[in-house]
Amino acid sequence: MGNSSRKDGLLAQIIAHRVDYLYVLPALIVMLVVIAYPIYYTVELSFYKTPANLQMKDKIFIGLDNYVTVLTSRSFHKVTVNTVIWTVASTIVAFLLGLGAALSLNREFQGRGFLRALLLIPYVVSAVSASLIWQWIYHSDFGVIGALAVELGLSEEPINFIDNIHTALASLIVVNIWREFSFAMIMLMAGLQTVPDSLLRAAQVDGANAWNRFWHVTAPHLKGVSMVTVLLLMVANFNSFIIPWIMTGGGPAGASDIWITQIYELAFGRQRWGTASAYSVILFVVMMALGYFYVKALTRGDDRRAE
Amino acid sequence: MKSAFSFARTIGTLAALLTTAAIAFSPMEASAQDTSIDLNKWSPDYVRSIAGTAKFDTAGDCSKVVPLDYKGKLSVWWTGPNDASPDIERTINDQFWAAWKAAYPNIETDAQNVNYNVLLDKFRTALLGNAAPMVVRLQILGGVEFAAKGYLHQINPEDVGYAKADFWPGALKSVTWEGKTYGIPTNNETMALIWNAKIFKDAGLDPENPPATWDDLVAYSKQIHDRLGIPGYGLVARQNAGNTPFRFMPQLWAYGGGALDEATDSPNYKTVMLNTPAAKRALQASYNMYVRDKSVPVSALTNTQNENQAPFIAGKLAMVIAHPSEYAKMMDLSAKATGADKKIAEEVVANMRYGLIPKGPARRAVVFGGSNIHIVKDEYVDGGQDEMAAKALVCFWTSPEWSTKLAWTGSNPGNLKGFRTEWMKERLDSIRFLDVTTSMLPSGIPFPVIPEAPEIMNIIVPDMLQNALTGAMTVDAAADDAAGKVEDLLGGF
Repeated sequence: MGNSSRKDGLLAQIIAHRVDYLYVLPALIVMLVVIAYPIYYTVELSFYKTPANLQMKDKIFIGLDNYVTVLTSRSFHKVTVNTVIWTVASTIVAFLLGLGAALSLNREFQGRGFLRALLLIPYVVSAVSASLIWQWIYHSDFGVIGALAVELGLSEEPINFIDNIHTALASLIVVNIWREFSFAMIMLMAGLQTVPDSLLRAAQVDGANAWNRFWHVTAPHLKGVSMVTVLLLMVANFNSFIIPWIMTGGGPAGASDIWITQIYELAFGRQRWGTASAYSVILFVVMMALGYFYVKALTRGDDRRAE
Repeated sequence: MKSAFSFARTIGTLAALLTTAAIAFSPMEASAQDTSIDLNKWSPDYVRSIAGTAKFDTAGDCSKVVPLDYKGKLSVWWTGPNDASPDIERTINDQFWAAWKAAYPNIETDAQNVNYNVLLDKFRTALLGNAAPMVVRLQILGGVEFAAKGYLHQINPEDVGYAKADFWPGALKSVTWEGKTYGIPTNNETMALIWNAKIFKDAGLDPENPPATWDDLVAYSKQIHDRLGIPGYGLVARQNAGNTPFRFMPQLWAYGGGALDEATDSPNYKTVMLNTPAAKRALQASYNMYVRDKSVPVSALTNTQNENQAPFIAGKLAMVIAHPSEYAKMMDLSAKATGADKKIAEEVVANMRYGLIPKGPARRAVVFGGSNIHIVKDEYVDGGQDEMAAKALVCFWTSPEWSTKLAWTGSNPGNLKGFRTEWMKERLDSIRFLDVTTSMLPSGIPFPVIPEAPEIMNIIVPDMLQNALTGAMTVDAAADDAAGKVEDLLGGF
C-alpha cells in the first residue's frame, strides 16, 4: 500500500512536470548517444580480446582477464605513479599560482587590465601549438633555455629536459601548469568578488595584517570556489593527453607515460581494444569519484541555503 | 566429306587467328610484352639506359579497365604532401588530381590527405564504424593487418590493366596475405645515407666517401663530434613513430639481426631475432653513439627525421638517413633562408652528398618502403563501394606515368614500366642522387608481412631503443625484453 502510493505520487509528479521533461529530452537523447552508449560499449569491450588478425565482430570473450592484465602489468605501477605526480603537482601548483595572480589582480593598479589579458594568453593558446612551441624551447640540442644557460655560464652544455627520464615528466608538468594557472586565476577572481569589502576593512581597522586578513576573511569565502577549481583541475589533468603525447609520446622509455597516453597507445598503437577499454573503465571510475565530490562541492551551498 | 573437312579446317584457322589477335591485343599480354625490365641487371647505368625508351597513354590504358565516361562516386584517403614536403610534391599532387578529373570527369571524387602518423588510426576507426573510404593508400607496412581482418578486396594487377611482372617481387609480397593479393604497389623507395661533405672535410674525413660500414659510421660520428662539437649522425629514436624503425632496421639487418626472420631468403615470420647476438651488436652500436660517444643529438629520443632537417640545413648535423626527397627539401629550406643563414644553407646544399647505406657483417640492407593502394570491401565503406570508380583510380595511380610522377622527389615508381618513361629520364637528369637511392632497391627488405608488424615496428622496436639509450635497461636486457614482447604478441597475448 505504501509503495503503491509512493509510485502513484512519483508518476503524478512526472505527469505534472511532463512539459519540463520534454524540454530536457533532446539533451538527454544527445547524452545517451554521445555519452551513455560509448560508456556502455567501452565497458562491454573491456571483457573481450581483440587480436590483430580478427575483426571486432569476431572478438573473443575473456571475462575479467583484461582487468587482471592491466592491474598486474609491469608498467601499471610506474604509469600510475606518473599519473598521480602529474595530476597532483599540476593541480596544486596551478591553483596556487592562480590564487596568487587573482589576489594580485584584485587590487586596482595601473595596467591591471593589460596584465590580466597577458596572463590569460596561455589559457587561450591551443594545447597543440603550445606543446610544439615548448618542445622547441626545451630542445636538448638547440632549445632557447639551454642556449641561454650556456650563454650565461650556468651550464657547459644545453640542458636536457625532455630527453631525460628523470626530468621529462617534471618538464611537461611545467608546461601544463603554464597553460592551466590562468583558469584557476579566472575562477578565483570570480570568487574574490564575493568577499565583502566591509569585512576586510573592519579586519584592517582591528589591526589584522595582510596574512591574517587573507586567512581569516578571504580564504573562508573562497572555500567553495577553491574546491570546485581544484576538482575541475584534477579531472582535466587526469585526462590531459595533448601535452605528453605531442612533446614526448610518453617517453623517453615511458618516463612521461600517464594513464591516458597508455590507453591511447594500447588502443591505436597495439590495437588491444579490450585492454584499452579495461584501462578506460578504471580511469572512468576514478573520474566518477572525482565527479561525485565535484557535484557535492557545487551543491553544498545550495543545501545550506535550503536549510 | 572433303568439303566438311575443309570447312572445319577453315573454321579452326579462323578461330586460331582470332584467338591470337585477342591475345596479341589484350592489355594484359601487351603489358607482359612491354615489361622488358631485367631486375638482374639493376644498376645506376641500367636504370639510365632504359629511361625514356617507352611512351604510355594513361587515360587510354585505363579506359580499357574502366571507360572514361564512367559515372560514379569515389572516396580516397592517402598521405600526401605536408609542411615538410618540398614544393614540387605539392605541385605534382595538384597536377595528378587535375589529370584524374580530366580523364574521368564524371567520377565525383572526395580525396582526403591524412597525416602519415594518423592515417592508420583514422582508417581503423572508420572501419569499425563501416565508414571507411572506398580506396586507401597505405604505407607498405599497413595493409596486411586489414587484409588479415578481411576488410580489403582481393585485387590483382591484372584487374587494373597490369601484370605481376610489372612490380617488384618484394612489393607484391607486401600486398599478399595467405597467397592472395590485396593491393597494388604505388611506389617503392629505399633511403640512402646523406652527408655534408664540408663537415667531413673539416673533421678530417674523406669528403667524397661515406662510411662503408656501420662500425665506420659510429667512428665517423665520434670523430665529427670530438673535433667539431656537433652531432655526427642524426639518430632517430622516438617512440610511436614510423621514422624510427625505418632507420634502425637497416642497421639491425646489416649486423645480421632482425625483428623476425624477415631478412632471410624464405622467412616464416615465426622466428624472433631481436635478441640474437647480431641484433644486440646492432643495438650496442646505437648505444655507443648515444651514450658512450655522445656523438648524436641528445634530442634523438623525441626526434623524428623532420626535427633533423633544421640542424642539417644549419650545418650542425653531418649525416642522416633519409629519402631522395631530402635534397629537394633542403633546396626549399635554402631558398627560404635569409641573411647569414642563407649563406650557410646554400653551402650545405652545395655540399650534400648521397651514398649507399653502410653495410654490416651480414649484408647491406635498407627498408623496402613505399606504399600500396587498396580497395575496401563494400560493407565497410561509407555509402557503399563503387568498384569501377575504385579500379579506375587504382589503374590511374599505379600507371607508369603517375607512379613515376607522384614519386618524383621521394620515391620510385611502383610500376616498373615507370622506369622506362620520359619522366624517369627527366628525374634522373634533374634530381641529384636519384641514381644512388634507386640502386639501393635490390638491397630492400620489407618489414614482416604480418598483421602484428605495426606494433612490432612502431612500438616494440622504438621501446627497445629507448630502454637501452636511456639506461633504463642494459643493451642485453632491452633486446631480451623486446624479444619477449614479440614472442608474447605472436603467441596471442
